[in-house]
Amino acid sequence: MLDLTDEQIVELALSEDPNAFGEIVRRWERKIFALCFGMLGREDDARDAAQETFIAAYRNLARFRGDARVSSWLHRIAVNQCLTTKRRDRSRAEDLIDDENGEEDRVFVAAPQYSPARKIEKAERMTLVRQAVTTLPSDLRQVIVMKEFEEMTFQEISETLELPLSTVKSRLYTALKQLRMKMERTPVEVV
Amino acid sequence: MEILNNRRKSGCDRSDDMVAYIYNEIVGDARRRFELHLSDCMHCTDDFAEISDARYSVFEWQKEEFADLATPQFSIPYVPKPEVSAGAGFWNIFRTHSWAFSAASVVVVCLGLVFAVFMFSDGPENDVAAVVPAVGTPAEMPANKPVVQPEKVDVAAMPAEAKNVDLDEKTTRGNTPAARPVRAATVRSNKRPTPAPRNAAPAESNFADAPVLSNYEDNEDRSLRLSDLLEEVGG
Repeated sequence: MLDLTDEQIVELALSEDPNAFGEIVRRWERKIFALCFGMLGREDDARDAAQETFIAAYRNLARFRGDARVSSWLHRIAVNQCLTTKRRDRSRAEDLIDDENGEEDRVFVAAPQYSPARKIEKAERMTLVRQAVTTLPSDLRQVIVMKEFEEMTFQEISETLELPLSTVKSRLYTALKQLRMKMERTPVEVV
Repeated sequence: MEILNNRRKSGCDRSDDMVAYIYNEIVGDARRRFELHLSDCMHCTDDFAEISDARYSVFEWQKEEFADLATPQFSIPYVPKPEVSAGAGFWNIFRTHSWAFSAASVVVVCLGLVFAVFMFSDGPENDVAAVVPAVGTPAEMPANKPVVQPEKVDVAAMPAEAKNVDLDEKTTRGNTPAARPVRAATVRSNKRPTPAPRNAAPAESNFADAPVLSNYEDNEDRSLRLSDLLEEVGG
């Protein structure tokens, strides 16, 4: 099953083996979780939204027509799920999502399931990230460090580096893109 | 450059909004517009997913490898600033600069003492001598004023009667200078300390340098003298 593409796994799940969908979840759970975390800003909300995303995807597996990639399809479902979560939270008058300056919402909580394989995968990913960040060009690495480690706002980074605000954002976008490409060149496989 | 080309190909460049949204720095209507676009644009959704994945990897790495590092503690012994009321602030100026005020008062007192000593020092002559130069000194007298030279009388050439005249005769007040007997400066000299010769010991220099109180001759002195009174009584 590891040699199959995402689209083949979906066909397999629709036709013969519903459990094949589990491979889709294993392949994409972290990235969907990261997307949800990027939209919601809270780890527990992101985990809930990611779970809802895969549930919704499994329920609507038959609607997948193959005109887009499975990843893109999952991304769209995740985005919609996160927006629904936000609307639901706003209607409940909870300020968990509307707290624009909620630094406490960014606290990372360890995943509930931490198998030895996942630990190894995580350790390898950390090594990969460290290598990717340190090999970034200095002007891009600078913005990443100031944003992620110093937790500075874009305005503060702009004033510190004496750069326009749009330049700071553009550099951060480019830095994240390059990190993504560097990490994809050496993918981490779960044994 | 490849990243920029991909953005241009898609015709959709929301990179600024994307990073601002990921870090929760987009608010209000801009946020809602981006969310609406994200739900409609497949390309931006995939792009957003890639950015989120990379960002979360860095986030996870930062928490795993740096969260347990001890933050260095810097303790700076700040001295708390004492609270000073508005009124006390004025007097604090004197407290904090007491040494300056003390020194200034000492200087003022010393100057006052010096001035007092200067003003009230004994001897009007001293004051006069200090202020007014010696009168009668030929070199110091103005040129316009007539120089009154004492008339020098040769005693040897004087007649006997004149020599026997008691030079301490009473001088009456109101006598004109012409009616008064002429006295020789030398006769009077025995009543005055003889000036020391110039070649004498160092004491003569002091004597020679002694201030001249008055330079007019005794024959011009018309004040009443004790000796004159005694002559009258004694006969």
